[in-house]
Amino acid sequence: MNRRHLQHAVGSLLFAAAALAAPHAHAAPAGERVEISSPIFPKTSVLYAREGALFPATLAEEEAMAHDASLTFEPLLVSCQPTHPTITLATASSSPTPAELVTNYAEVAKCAYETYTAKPYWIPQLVSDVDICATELGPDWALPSEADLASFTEADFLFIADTLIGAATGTSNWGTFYFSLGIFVRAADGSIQKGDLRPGAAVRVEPLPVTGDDLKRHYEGGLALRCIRRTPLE
Amino acid sequence: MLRMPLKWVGAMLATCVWQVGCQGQGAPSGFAEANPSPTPAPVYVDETPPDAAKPPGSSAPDAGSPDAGDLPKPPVTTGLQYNGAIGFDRRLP
Repeated sequence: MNRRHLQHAVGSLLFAAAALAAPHAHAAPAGERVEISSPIFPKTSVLYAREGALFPATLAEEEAMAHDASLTFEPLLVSCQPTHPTITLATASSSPTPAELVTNYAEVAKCAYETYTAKPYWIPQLVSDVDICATELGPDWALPSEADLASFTEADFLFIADTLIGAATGTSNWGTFYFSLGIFVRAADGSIQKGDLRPGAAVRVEPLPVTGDDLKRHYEGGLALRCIRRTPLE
Repeated sequence: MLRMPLKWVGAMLATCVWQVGCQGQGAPSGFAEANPSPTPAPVYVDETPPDAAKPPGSSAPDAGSPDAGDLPKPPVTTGLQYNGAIGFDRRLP
């Protein structure tokens, strides 16, 4: 577990402790805003060139590789708009409507694959060693932890699923992985495992079926690298 | 040879796709699978050279995707944000 993961874990604990210790204090947050990011998908060309025996030997090399490989949503909105003109970009004076946001999501899903051949093929060792969420989305984002998933209610999982179903209309088969509810998770023991956001899932977190040196090869298990941000509400 | 209107065939296929992808509590169980579509899923098996641009629609079949109006849709939530994230507020008890 690197320092960022530790900070996230400590922050979550402090947040929970504050809520329990002083539920009636004025300073206590009334709740929290939870955000689950769209998937960060890798450019497979970057990963394929540095996997297995060619996997980076230093953390710095891993970080550079992860950054080179990462495809994030907002840059894709802009770069995909010329070829996917139904994408609506926000301006200084207007924001897309909910229906336009749905279209944006579906179009980015298609574009990510069609134009950039994004695939859910991250190398687990890279996901474990590099804090990709913080690096690519900002320091307040983190890889979801087992504790994060344990804190969600069934209604939360249902809301996440319904949101993705609502955004899936009209998406070609090529983009379906953008709607995946299977994600990478930091397990309680510090390892990278697979998490299940589906409503009613019997098992939320379980080990990957690969171990050892296979963790340094791209994993075709269909897992999305989603990030989480939890912000206290005043 | 059995003949039936094309729209009947389309409706049957679409219904089949929807039922396969939405088992249990309306959850998108198929979305978490490696191959959520009953049709071959080239995303997970093709050997397309990485980063080779594919002309939109050139080879990506849309047959498995639901057409608006054909299928029941869950209510659109307001959770989708401009940055692509799903956001929701949780109130502490």
